[in-house]
Amino acid sequence: MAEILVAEDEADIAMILREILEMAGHHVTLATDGAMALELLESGLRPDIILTDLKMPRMSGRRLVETLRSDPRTAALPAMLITGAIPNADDFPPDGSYDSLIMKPFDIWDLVDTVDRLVGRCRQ
Amino acid sequence: MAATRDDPAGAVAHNAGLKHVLSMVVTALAGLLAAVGLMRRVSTEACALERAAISLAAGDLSARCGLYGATDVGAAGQAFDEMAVSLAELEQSRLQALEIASHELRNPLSAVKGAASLLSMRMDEGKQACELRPLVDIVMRGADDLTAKMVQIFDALILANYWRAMDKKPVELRELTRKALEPFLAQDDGNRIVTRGLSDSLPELVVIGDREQLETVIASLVSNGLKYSMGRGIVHVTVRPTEGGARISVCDRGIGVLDAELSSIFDGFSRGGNLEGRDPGGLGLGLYVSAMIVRQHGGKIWVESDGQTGAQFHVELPTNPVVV
Repeated sequence: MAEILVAEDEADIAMILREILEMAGHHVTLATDGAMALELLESGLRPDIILTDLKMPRMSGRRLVETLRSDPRTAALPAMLITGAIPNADDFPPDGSYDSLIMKPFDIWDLVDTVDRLVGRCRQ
Repeated sequence: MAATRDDPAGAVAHNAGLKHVLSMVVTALAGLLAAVGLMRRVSTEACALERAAISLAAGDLSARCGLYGATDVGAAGQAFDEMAVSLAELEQSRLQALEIASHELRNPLSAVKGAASLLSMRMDEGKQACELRPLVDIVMRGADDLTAKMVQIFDALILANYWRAMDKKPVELRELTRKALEPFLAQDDGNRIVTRGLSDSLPELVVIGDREQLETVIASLVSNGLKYSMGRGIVHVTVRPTEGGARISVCDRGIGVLDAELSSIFDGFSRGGNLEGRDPGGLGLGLYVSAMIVRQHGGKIWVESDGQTGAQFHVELPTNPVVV
């Protein structure tokens, strides 16, 4: 079982992500934007991976990933982007700063497989 | 007549004639050289213009000839470059519209697809109907969201491409505004709508218009004001008479409209630029559709903002108690 932090502002998509990942045996903590995800990390949450949307209120996924990479405590935390946005320089974090990208609408098994692969790679 | 040593006057006249001929030849040569230079310049400019036109026709929207208006061809080239800039901007707007539409449709589609997949699995597991209800609700919300967005795209296309047949009748603007605000006032979401000039004890303000379309305009402006208030959802709605018409004003204390966007905010797929990474959601078609409806009523719509402390949207419609 992995500890997963999900940053997603769309409530329905957040609920589906939680159901899918919990069904796959993981524990999920939800954040409604990048700022809340950072607050959870500051308050002691130690996830094995973070899944984040890109376009969110208060703090975007791009800024969240950039902040994670600039902090030695979270620099190595696997980050997976889940987005409906077309890749462009304005919204996306720099290449190499995230580990995987899944486009919406996603296949739930692709999502579970990718999360398991990233978590497994990180634990090796 | 040939000049001789014995005829100095004739020699002087002869020399003067030669000088004159020489001067004419030099002038003609200079003119010829200038003409050749001009022809070469025009020819070079025409070639540059032709190359840029061929590149543009082949799809390279960055193609420019770099000419300026010293000659007729130069002026044509300058006009060509300005046209190419406009074309590139149009193409950029088209791509931005596709990007926004793609993102805004992918989100509800994700919810529908994910919930449907989970529903299928839960049903295979023999779960009870009550346990499936939350997932069914997600599918319904996603389908409603997709439907609303598709309708908005359809409306925008219809209004942009056809003079939409409107059901125009005398409508009282204060009552119509009250009706349009009902869904917002019924929502208990922390947002506040403050109204002025809506009392039914005030004199009637009758306009000739399509009731449903005008309600769409008001709803769109209020929804826009709440969206860009970013949690500071106080929107003031005012209706008042003007000379020969009536004005509806919708004012918010949100993030405002940047100077550069005041003129383009009513374009299709236009969304606020001072969002600092925040996503307001939506297709950016509400104001576009509103502007087209207002114009088809013979009215005008505009926005005022200092770019920081909110925006004031105004719609002015001609009042006319006679049905035409």
